[in-house]
Amino acid sequence: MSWVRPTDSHRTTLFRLSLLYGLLYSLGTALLLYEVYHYVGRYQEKQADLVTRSNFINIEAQPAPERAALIAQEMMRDRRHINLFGLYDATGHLLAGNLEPLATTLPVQSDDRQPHDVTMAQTAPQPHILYARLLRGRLSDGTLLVTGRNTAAIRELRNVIRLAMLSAAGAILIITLTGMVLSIRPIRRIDSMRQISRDISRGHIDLRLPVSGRRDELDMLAGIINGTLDDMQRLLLDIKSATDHIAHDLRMPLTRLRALLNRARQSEDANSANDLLNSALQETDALMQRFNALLRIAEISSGMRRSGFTDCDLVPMLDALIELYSPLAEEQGINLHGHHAPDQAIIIHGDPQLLFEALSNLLDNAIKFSPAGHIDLFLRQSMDCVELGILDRGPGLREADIGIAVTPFFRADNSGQPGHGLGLSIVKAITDLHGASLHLENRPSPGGLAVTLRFPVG
Amino acid sequence: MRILIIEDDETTARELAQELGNHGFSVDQAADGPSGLALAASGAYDAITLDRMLPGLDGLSIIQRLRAQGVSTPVLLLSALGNVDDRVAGLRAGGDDYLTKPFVSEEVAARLEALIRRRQAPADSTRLSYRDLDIDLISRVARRQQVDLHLSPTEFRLLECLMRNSDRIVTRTMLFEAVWGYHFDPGTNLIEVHVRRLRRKVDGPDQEALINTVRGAGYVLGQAD
Repeated sequence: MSWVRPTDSHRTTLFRLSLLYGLLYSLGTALLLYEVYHYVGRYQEKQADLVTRSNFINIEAQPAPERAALIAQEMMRDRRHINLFGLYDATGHLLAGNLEPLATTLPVQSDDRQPHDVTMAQTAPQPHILYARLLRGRLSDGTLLVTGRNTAAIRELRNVIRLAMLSAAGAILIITLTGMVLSIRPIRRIDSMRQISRDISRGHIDLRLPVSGRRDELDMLAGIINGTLDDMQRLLLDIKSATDHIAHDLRMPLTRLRALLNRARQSEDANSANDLLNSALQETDALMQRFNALLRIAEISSGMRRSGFTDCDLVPMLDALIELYSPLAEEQGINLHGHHAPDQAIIIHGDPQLLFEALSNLLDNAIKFSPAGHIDLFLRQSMDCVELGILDRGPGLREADIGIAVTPFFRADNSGQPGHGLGLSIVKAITDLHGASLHLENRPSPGGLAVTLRFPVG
Repeated sequence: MRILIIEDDETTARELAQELGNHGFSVDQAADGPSGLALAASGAYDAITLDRMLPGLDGLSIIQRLRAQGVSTPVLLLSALGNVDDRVAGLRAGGDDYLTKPFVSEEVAARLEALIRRRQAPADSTRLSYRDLDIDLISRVARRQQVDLHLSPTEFRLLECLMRNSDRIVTRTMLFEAVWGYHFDPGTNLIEVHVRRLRRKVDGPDQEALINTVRGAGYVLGQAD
C-alpha cells in the first residue's frame, strides 16, 4: 500500500467533510466570541465613561475651594480604587486626587472633555503601569481636572475572551487535523481498492480486494465484490474448459465427416457413394445434436430462462414421465416404479419444460444402463426441500467419475451407447438454474446409481 | 402449393428452396424484410417461412403487419433464438409454428405441410377418418373396420396427430410436441417405441400397414407423396 499523496486526499468526501465542518465551527465560534468580546467590552467602557463624566460634572459643579474636599471624599468612597481623579493647578502641580503629578507626558493632551484610553507609568504605591480611560478639561478657575477609570478589569476580561477564542480556534484546529488524519486510513483503503480493481479489470482476475476484518461498510463492499469476482473467475474457467472440450470432442466427428465426403466424392459406384453420403449425413445429424445441446446448456446457464418460471406440480410430471418411458423400459425388461404420497401436490417454482427435459435425460440414462429389473422413482417433500430421485440397479459410476460426470462430454467407460455425453451437463445446468442441487451416489446395496435432485422450498 | 421463403442467408435459403422443391412445392424467395412483406401481402402463398432476424424489417413486425392487413397465410418462424419467451412472442405476434436454428430441412417441409393441412381441414370436426380408420374426438374411441382398438390416451393422441397429417410426414419432434407438449428432442428410441405399440394395435397382421416409418424423417399415416 503506498502512501496517499496529499493532493489525492483533498478529493475525498471524508477529507472535504472534515475540512468543511472544521471551517464552519471555527467561523461560528470566532463570530460568537468576537461578538461577546466586542459588546461586553463596549458595555463596560460605556459604564466606565458614565461614571467618569458624572464625576467630572459633579466636581466642576462645586465651588472651587470645595473641589479638593469632594475629590478626597469620592476617593474614600471608592473602595475598589477604580476611579481616578486629578486636579492640577496651572503649573501642573497636583492639588488633589490619586493621579500623579501632571507631566507633560500625560497622554491625554487635549482638553476636550472626552474619555480617552491611556497607558501611563505610575510610581505609587509601587512603580506600575496604569491602564485607564481619562477625561480632561480646563475649569473656569484655570485648574485642570482629570477624571477617569482604571480599565485593568476591562482589559482583563478582554484578555480572557481573547484567550478563549484562541483556545477554541486551537481546539477546532486539532479536531480538524484529527479528522483529516482519521480519514487517511479509509482513504488509503479505498485507494488500494481502486488500484486492485484497475489491475483486475486489466486481466488479473485472480486478484481480490483486501478485507480489513473490521467488518465495516468497506469490508462489506469488498466482500460482495470479491464474491462476484469468484463467480466471474469460475465462469471464465468454465467457458475455457467448455471450449476446450468442444474443440476436442467435435474434432473427431468432423474428421470422420470429411473423410466420408471425400471418399464419396472419389467413389465411382453410385451405390457406395450413396451409402457413404448417408453415413456422412448421420455424422452431421449427430454433430448438430451436440451443437444444439451445447447451445441449450449455454442458454440455460445464462439464467435468462428464469423469466419462464411458474408453479409446477411435480406429481403429474412424474406420472407423465413414467408413462412416457414405460414402453421403452418394458422393451428392455425394466419396470418403472413411481413412489409418492397419494393425493398430494408437490409444487416448486420453475420452468416445466426444462424440468421435464432434465428428468427425461436422467431416466433415459438410467434405462440405458440398467439391466432388466426395475427402476424406482421417488418424489417427496420435507420441511425445507423437495426431493426427486431415480434409483437404478445398473453398474453405477466409478467413484472417481462421480465428481466429473456432469462435465460436458463425459462418457462412462462402459458406454457403447450412442449419445453425445451432454445429457448430464444439461441436467446440471437446469438444476443450477432452479437453485437446486444434483447428487450422484452409488448405492451400497442393492447396487446401482442413485440420482437425486433437491429443490429448496420456503 | 406455393411457398414463400423470407430468409437473408443465401445458403439457408437455397438449401430450403431445394428441399421444398423436392417435396413438390413451388418456391419463391425474398432476401429482406420489406420485399418479403410485399410478396407475402399478395396473399398468393399457401405458407410462408420467415426468418426472425431480417435486414430492413424484423420477422415479428412482418407478421404483425400481415395479420393487420387480414392476410392469414400460415407462417413458420425460423429463428436462432430458442427460449420460451421468444417462442411465445413469435406465436403471439401471429406466427403459426416456430423452429429454432439449426434445423433440418425435412423438419421444415413436414411442418409446412402440417400447417397447410391444418388450414384446409375444418376446425370443428369431431371425427377424423382415413381409409378404414376412424376416431371420435369426443369419446376418444378409435376404430378400424368398426372394431374398437382400445387405445390408451397417449396412443389416441398419437394416432390423432398422424391422422390430422395423413399422407404427410410427421417428424419425431412434431409428434412429441403434439402428444406430450414438450419442446425438446426426446431421442429416437422413445417415440419409436410408442409408435410401435400403436402400430401393433392399429395395423393387424392381415391388414394394410397404415402407419409407416420414413427413415431419417419421421412417420406417416398412409404414404408420403
